Formats: sequence, structure tokens, C-alpha cells
Amino acid sequence: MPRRRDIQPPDPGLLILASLSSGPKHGYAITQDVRTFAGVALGPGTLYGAIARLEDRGLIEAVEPADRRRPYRLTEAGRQSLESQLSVLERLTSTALGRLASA
Amino acid sequence: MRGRWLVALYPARWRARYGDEFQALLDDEPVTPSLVLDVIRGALDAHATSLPSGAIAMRPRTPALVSILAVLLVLPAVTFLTAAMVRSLQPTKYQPAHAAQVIFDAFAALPATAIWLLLGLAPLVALVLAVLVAWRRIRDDAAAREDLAAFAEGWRRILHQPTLVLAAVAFIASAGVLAFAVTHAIAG
Repeated sequence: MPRRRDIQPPDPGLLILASLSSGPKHGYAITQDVRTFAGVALGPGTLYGAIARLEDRGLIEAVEPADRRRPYRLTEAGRQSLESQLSVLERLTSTALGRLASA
Repeated sequence: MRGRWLVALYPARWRARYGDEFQALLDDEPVTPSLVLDVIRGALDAHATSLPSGAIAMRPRTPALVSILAVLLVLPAVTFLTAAMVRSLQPTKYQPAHAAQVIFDAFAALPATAIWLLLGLAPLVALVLAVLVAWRRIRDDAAAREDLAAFAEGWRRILHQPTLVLAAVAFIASAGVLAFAVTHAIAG
């Protein structure tokens, strides 16, 4: 059984894109969602560092906030980037699992 | 409001853009040592990258203006070189070559100092400005560094595929020859 510290958590940017693929969310909702589906606790500093970079690269955009919490959503470029990253991961996973099974 | 001092660790421009929502998130989280470390790391990152761009209003305008200036400085030289190339490749009765001849003649009529400035000094200054803007962007923006590394990796992979490289060379050469032949056929 691998130790927890041996498993590198996925890139925060990828986790945020994956979280926003189900619809717009604000920072707190993203952290809760990521914690649920990936088991990763994104700290506020990590979360907003990644949000700033994703927004800068045009992969996500802010939605008009109802209160202090500002939701974000995927842009078309963000959707394409997520699909592209996931297809690479899918190939990697299926290849590695297939090799392990046949070894 | 919990952890206001944590928000204060970030640069002013960052706080102007993300401060309220970041504070709202901190209000929902218990302040633990690991959270404090995470925020400090994020604040250091925000200072180091000089971004958090995110919002267009937060982007420093100077690099964009310098980039535009560099393009404007190099434009006359590019225009002249394109005109000179078209003029030397195509028969003059063909319209683009005629336009190229007009541009070429206009440059030729300029005083020697102006030609030296437009074709020598201006491109040199543009080159220095472009290198400076690119260097600063690469130094300050982690995302730009990632993009550049991905771009370099893409080219490295392409260049390691001789079939693809040869096909690209054949495509460019044949397209050039065909364009030249069609141009002469139309003109002639």
C-alpha cells in the first residue's frame, strides 16, 4: 500500500477545471467539490494562485457575483484544455494498468 | 472577519481583484497552521509573479505598449523588404509587383539618414524591446514559462520525426513553386 505522501496530488489547475466542468462555482464550492471527488484539500493560497493563472490564460472566467463570493466558469478554451489533459491522463492510465495486468 | 492579516500579505493589486472573495473563503475555513502556510506560500507566489493578472485591468500596460511600439518600429523595414522581394520575384506588369515598385521607389527617394534610421536603427531598437518584454514575461509569469516549455517540447517532438519534417519541406517548396508559376501564368 503506497504511503499518502508518496502520491503526488494532481495539478490544482486541472482539479479546478474538472470541478468547473459541472457548472460555475465560487472558491469555497470548488474546494468542497475537489475534496469530495479527488480527496485533495486545496488551501486558499493554492486555490487562488491557480484561479489567477487559469483566468490569466483565459481558461476560466468570473461570473457576476451575487455577494462577496465570485463564481467562476469554464471558457471554451478551458473546456478544450481540460479535454486534452484528460485524454492524455486516460491514455497514460489505460496503458500503465494494461502493462501492470500483463506483467 | 477571520484572517484579515492573511489577505494583507498579498500585493495591493491582487487584493483589489481577489481580496473580497479570498476573505469570504477564509471566513469559511478554520485558521490552522497548514492554512497559514498555504496562504503565505500563495502570497509569496503572487509577489514573485507580479501577476495575478486574471483581470485585464490588473495587467501591467507597459509591456503591451512596448510590444506595440516594437512592431511599429519594425514595420517600415518589413514593408521595404517585402516590397523588395516581391519586386525581384514578379514581373512588374503584375499588380502586386507594381505596388512593390512604388513602395521601393518611395524608400529610395528618402534621404540616406532616414533610410539608415528606418532600416537599421529602428529594427535594432525593436529587437532589444522585444527581447526585454519577452525576458520579463518569462521571468515573472510561471504560466508563460509553462507555455514556452510546451511549445519547445512540441517542436522537439516534431523535429524528431524526419518523415514529418521532410513532408513539411516538400509541402512548403511545392506550394512556393506553384504560387510562383501561377503568378507568372496570370501575369503573362
